[in-house]
Amino acid sequence: MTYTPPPGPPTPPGAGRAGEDYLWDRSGEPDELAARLESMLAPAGLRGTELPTDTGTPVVWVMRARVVLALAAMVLFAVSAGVWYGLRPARGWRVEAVAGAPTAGGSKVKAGGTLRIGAWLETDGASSASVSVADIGRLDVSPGSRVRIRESADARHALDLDHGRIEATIHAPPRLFFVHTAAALATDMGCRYELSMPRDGKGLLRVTLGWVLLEAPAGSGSGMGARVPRGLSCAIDPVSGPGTPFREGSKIEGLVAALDERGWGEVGDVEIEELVRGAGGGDEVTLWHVLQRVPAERRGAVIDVLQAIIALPEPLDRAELERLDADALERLWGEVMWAG
Amino acid sequence: MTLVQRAKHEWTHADALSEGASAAAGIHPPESAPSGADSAVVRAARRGDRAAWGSLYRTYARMVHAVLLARVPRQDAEDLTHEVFARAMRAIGTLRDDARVGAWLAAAARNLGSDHLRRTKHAPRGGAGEPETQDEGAVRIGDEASRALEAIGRLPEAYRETLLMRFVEGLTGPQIAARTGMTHGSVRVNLCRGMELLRSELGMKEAP
Repeated sequence: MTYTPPPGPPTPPGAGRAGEDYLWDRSGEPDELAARLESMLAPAGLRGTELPTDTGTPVVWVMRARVVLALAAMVLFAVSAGVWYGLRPARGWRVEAVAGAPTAGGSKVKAGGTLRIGAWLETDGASSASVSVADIGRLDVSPGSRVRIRESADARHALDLDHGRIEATIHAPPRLFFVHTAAALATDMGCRYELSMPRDGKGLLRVTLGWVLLEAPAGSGSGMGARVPRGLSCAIDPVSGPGTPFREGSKIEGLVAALDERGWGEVGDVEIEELVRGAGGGDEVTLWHVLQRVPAERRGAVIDVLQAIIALPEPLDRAELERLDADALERLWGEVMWAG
Repeated sequence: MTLVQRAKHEWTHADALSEGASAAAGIHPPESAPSGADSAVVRAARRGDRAAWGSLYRTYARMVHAVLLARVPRQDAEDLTHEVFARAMRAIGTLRDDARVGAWLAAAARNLGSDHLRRTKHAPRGGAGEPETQDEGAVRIGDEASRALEAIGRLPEAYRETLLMRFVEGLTGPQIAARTGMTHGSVRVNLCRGMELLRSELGMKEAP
């Protein structure tokens, strides 16, 4: 979802002195002072365009929290200190064996057990486990997996996935739950998803509700991140990190995977032709990412494909998109995220 | 499926009926009628949808930051931007017209900026043209940039805000108009007149 600004009156041709058009919308000959001010003052601008996690909770969450807090206060007032002592949260998350004999910290998981922070939860080929992620969701850990809690605090809960498969269902505001793998950081944006990371080979993220932000680990120097909404998947390469999100079964799935492997600088006429012939409804998010990966001279062709699939709102400026203007990309994201 | 179609699909039946009734009754005159997309985002925000608030933040945070920058020390502006949205989340029920959410946020930022100055007893920008300080928490900028910010700080408030949106936050004139609710004409005047005054403050000749 995003804001679409209303169209304004057209600028009369030839209006204003030299440089006024540039001052207005960066068209025409650059005004020297304006260009210098833009360059000098940009560092003083707002850092980050994502809503911080500590900004607070929307009204509905606050109302629910107030009710819960009121009830909790009543309960605490009515019980003894010994019971209160027992109600203190454990230093870890609750873990249950679902099948077989998973281990936590080297010991077999018992009924009502706790996975302590830093201890590895391991499942063999015949075992699986279920973990309560603090009080914000649930993690199902499949056979052949190894995970541990990296940290767990009010504003951040993070997991290390060494290898294997997890299915996370998180019902909390975005950016509260993170999964670290060797090749990508998955940031939950309020959703349900499966994340598989084999010991070697490519991992795979599948999102079934909400969306997940995938980024390469800090300092890795890997390529671009990926926004993966409901219904899409994304491969995670152990070296290059997150790939391009795709719809499983799409006609361009193979092309996208191949270009993720070879590098998007290799895109030529043949690949564009295949994109034009193969892309259809459900590929909008893929194309949004492709637009930012292909060489500049190929962006127009990608925009053409997008326009053939989705009715782009009028205020979207093709030239801005070809320049990868951040604002234009966000407006386009608002359209493609809900498409299909 | 376009955003408008998707938004309509996601609305409850009651919402859809309500929207249809409003349109039929001409409650939103054509010249100020919000698009389906605008209304969908703000309506979702009213329901506490965090993704919708994320979208509003991405769209309006830079504008809010510039409004604050026009009033408070640079090292305080970013935290106060977050505070504006935190307050907006709690007070969204007071927004009367979804299409005016940008102007509403700008007003909230101006109020918060003024409150902050009163609380901290900082001298307001534009008063004495106090020197820009490279305080902790603010990204360091060069001397020339500091002088430019001081000069902008000495301009009238309307020009100050618009120039900060344009040069610090990188918003174009149409983007400033869309986010603040001002007309294109007003923004254009603020930019052009503000730029003339800024040249004068900086001791430069006017552009040809």
